[in-house]
Amino acid sequence: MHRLFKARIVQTTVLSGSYRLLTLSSEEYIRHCEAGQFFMLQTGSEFLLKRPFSIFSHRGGLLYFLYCIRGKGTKRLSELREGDFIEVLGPLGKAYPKPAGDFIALAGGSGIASIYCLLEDNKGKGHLFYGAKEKGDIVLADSLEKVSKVLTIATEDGSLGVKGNALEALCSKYQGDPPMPIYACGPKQMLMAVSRWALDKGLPCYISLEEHMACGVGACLSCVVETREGLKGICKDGPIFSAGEIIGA
Amino acid sequence: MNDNALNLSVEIAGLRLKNPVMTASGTFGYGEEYAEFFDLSRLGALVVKGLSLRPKRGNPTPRIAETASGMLNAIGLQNIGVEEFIGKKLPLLRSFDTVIIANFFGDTFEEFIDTAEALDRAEGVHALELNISCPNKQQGWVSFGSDPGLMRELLGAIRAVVKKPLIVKLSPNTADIKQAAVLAQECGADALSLINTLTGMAIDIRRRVPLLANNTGGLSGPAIKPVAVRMVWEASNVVSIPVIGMGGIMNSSDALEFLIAGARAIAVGTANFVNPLSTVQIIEGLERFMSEEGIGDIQDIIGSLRTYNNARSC
Repeated sequence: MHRLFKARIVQTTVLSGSYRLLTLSSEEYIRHCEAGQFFMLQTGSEFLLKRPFSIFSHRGGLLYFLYCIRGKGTKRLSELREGDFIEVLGPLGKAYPKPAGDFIALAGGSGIASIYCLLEDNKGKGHLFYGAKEKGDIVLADSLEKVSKVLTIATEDGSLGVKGNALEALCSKYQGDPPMPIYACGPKQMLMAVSRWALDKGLPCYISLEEHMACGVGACLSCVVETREGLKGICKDGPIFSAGEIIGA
Repeated sequence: MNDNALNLSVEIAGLRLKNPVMTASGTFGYGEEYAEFFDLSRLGALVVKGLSLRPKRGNPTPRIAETASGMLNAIGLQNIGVEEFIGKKLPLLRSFDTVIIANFFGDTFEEFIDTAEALDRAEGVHALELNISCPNKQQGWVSFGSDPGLMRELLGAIRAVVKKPLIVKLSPNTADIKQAAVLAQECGADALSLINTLTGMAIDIRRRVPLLANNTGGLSGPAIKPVAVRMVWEASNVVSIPVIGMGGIMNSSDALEFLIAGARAIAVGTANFVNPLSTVQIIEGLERFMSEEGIGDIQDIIGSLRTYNNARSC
């Protein structure tokens, strides 16, 4: 089911200074995608390797990827235009476990990409805590409002929503134990902190990890993470892991 | 020309490969990772990730970095160990109609021997490929590949316990590949694989740290292909045993360069990461080339290079 194909760029949207939304055509493969999975995208012909990107949305025969311009690969991706073709491999990796009822979603920065997908696939069930550095880094607040049950925005400088990071907003909201599983994607430090918080409270917690990878299918062994069962591949055994699996959490 | 009439099969150390396209160790996992993409029986041979006596954890991350036309890796020979390979991975591999080659290494002299013995006994492993050339290990054994005396001793001891065909994988990180090739042949190698990765380094200029947690790593991909072609040409001119060529092969044109230079077979490495179907597309590309050129037998391509006789060393 994992296939390599050339997808047509349907739309490129500038969301803010460095955030972009890429829309690709992908009718044949769309029904297999699940929130938490990712694709390897050939961001430019000058690059040898593809780069991993979480699925932001998969609707109406289209694939959406939200990304932040950080390095050469994402810079090059942002220069592609509608009508261009891009080689993609996927969907790859394990998805978030399907939430049975309401759940807490925690997103930091570009981690909102896979969290949005989870919220959209489970509309009206997610209590979202979404944090970024400042107002300009908070993207698609209107869309997030629609797919979440409750939306809490946090910015480090307090320019939008509550002041502080998303985890602090989550912790201050739930002094007691929220009777809900937690799904998180964002900076590693945030993921480790929320994992400890959830483990402490005995709550199920699922985190999405990332690492440099070459193949995306478990062959190159670049993207390993230490787990209680030894080293695992983020691309194949993840990118979604249960908090209790990860050493250091 | 009728495609059915094409003969792509080659012989390596008494093993008949249906075509000269193999996978390079460390780039194809244990085979199962790619089994969902295509029928592995199409491969001439499948070389698995390097195995050691006991499981190995490998290096810290980041383990890879992309560089111009290539990539650096310092995986650190992470593997599940020979026992788990035989118990859990080999059964699936046996179900494919292809030649299975087990790459192996050791941290000590004794581990080399014990691993070789275990793989020599394993049903479904058709040949062994000895890795004495990985640049990502700091331990003393790495010198086995660069010290002729040690190499003679090690190879002799391994040869004594291995009844299956023994392939020796050579490092390009040497002054003279011809010497290493001749030495391996003298010590009983049935075939040679070359080249392994070239030791390299890349730096984050803002943070002033290496891009790899291991500081240095092995360079692979198109960037190293000219070096690999030259070394395959040099080695195949001085030994009588088959040479398996590898290093930056991305497509069938690349593969043909190696075959023309003298490689009896070729291995595809980094290209597997870029495109899981690389090997199959290369096999199809070789068939297309033979049809176009009116060549019925791949033997007519191997070593067919016509060199200029006025060349001088640069």
